[in-house]
Amino acid sequence: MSSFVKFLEEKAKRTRMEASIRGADARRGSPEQRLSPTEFIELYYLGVTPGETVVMSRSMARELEERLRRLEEENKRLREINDILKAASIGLLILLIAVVMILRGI
Amino acid sequence: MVSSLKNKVKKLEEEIKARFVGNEEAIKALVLNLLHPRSTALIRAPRGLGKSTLMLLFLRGIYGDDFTVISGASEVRRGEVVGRLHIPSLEKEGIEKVIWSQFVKSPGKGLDETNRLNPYTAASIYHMLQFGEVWAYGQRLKVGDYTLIANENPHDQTTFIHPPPFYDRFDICVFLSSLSFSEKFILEDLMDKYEGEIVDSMPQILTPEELSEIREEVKEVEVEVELKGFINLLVRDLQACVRGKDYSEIKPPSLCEGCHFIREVCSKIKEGPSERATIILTNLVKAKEWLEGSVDFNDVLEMSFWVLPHRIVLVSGTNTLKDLKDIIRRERRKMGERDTRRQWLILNRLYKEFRRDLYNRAKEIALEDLVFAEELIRLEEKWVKEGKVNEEEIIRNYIVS
Repeated sequence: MSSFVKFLEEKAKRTRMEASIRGADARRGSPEQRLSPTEFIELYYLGVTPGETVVMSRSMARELEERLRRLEEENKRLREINDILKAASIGLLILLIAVVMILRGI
Repeated sequence: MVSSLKNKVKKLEEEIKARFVGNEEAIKALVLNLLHPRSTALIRAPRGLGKSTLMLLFLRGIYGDDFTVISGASEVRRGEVVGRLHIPSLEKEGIEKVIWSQFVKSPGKGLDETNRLNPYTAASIYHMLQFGEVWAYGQRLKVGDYTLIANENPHDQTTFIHPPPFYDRFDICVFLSSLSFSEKFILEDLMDKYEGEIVDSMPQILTPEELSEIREEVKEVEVEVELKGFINLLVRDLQACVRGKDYSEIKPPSLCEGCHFIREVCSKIKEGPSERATIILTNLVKAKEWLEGSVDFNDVLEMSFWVLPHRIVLVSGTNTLKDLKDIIRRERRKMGERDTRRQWLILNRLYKEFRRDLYNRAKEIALEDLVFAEELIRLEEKWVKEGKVNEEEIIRNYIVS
């Protein structure tokens, strides 16, 4: 591992450690500590338990908005497929019942 | 054994402080700088502030009477600095035998009034500092480990203007200040105590062998990776220029017109420090760790005042030390901002894998930090080749103009 990568790892480790200490403080601490804002990046990438308020940068908000939009579209597409599959399943079930009844001579 | 060597170094510092009034920071710097091989230091001060006295106190403290001082104020010839021909050998046998000078052979070297050295002598010394060898009459001599302490008054009227690379070879440069009202009384008392023979009264505290042993131990000291990063960042901040000032005919501030980073530290610097600054800061950090058992970021910033002044050309050029103080103050704040932005965490993630959301955040950070931008640009080049980002969206387009 190069010294530069080692430096990045060390810095990342320290950031994670500091964030988890802040998270623990926010959980146990005074009302002021609980109310102190948590950065979204800490919440999302470091798994820190947030305080009452979470802040994020404009670009991060845009990114989230974009991701939500894409997920909504994906959701809609999957729901349509789901509906088609449901209809197909019901059709096949009716067909199966009909075939069974014919075979039994009902 | 180690602690006895440390005590000796501390004793050396105490004995010098007992004979040299004030300027404690300069003494501390000179002591720390002694602890790595081929140590070179420059003491700068106006006339009569004790430059030569301080130089001699250090040399006597380590080498006793066995050191050599040459003075730029006298007519120094190459024979005195490097070597001269042995005339009988030439006349009788036709052999060019060189008698190497005491200055070259002696491990304790002093250079008085460096600014007055003629360019030829300065060139010989430059070569010795650069390559650890000297040449005379086609013959070469490898110079062993040494301590070189120089002094100069740069405002002296008979000053030669030595080239910046010459000064770059001095590890550190310390400035002496004049004595305060109360300190003048202390000096008078000292003069009475030592009957005016302050330098002669200095005992030899260390031996050259002990100093070699110390230097070997200091060399082995491991520097924490975060501290290494801090040193590298500090030096890079003072070197970096998005418009490539190193190779530009136009220098800041003209070069900075319209630049995105015009308010940054880089716009205050005409010529940044060389890579030697990093090496010397690392040596000083190792020395402090060895001697005192601890070293932190504030120590590095303090050391930068010894390592940078003679290696950097600032835009204002009126008061280097005052301007440097302002630059270091801004650097301290900048390092804090970097941690607050968690930018190294983000870069670390991006080094492992490309993530669009982190990349967008990194681009925003890059607009505030040129050194970070340089690293992101390197990653972008890779991602462009891999088809992960488009040429149109890369940060280089926004900041390089």
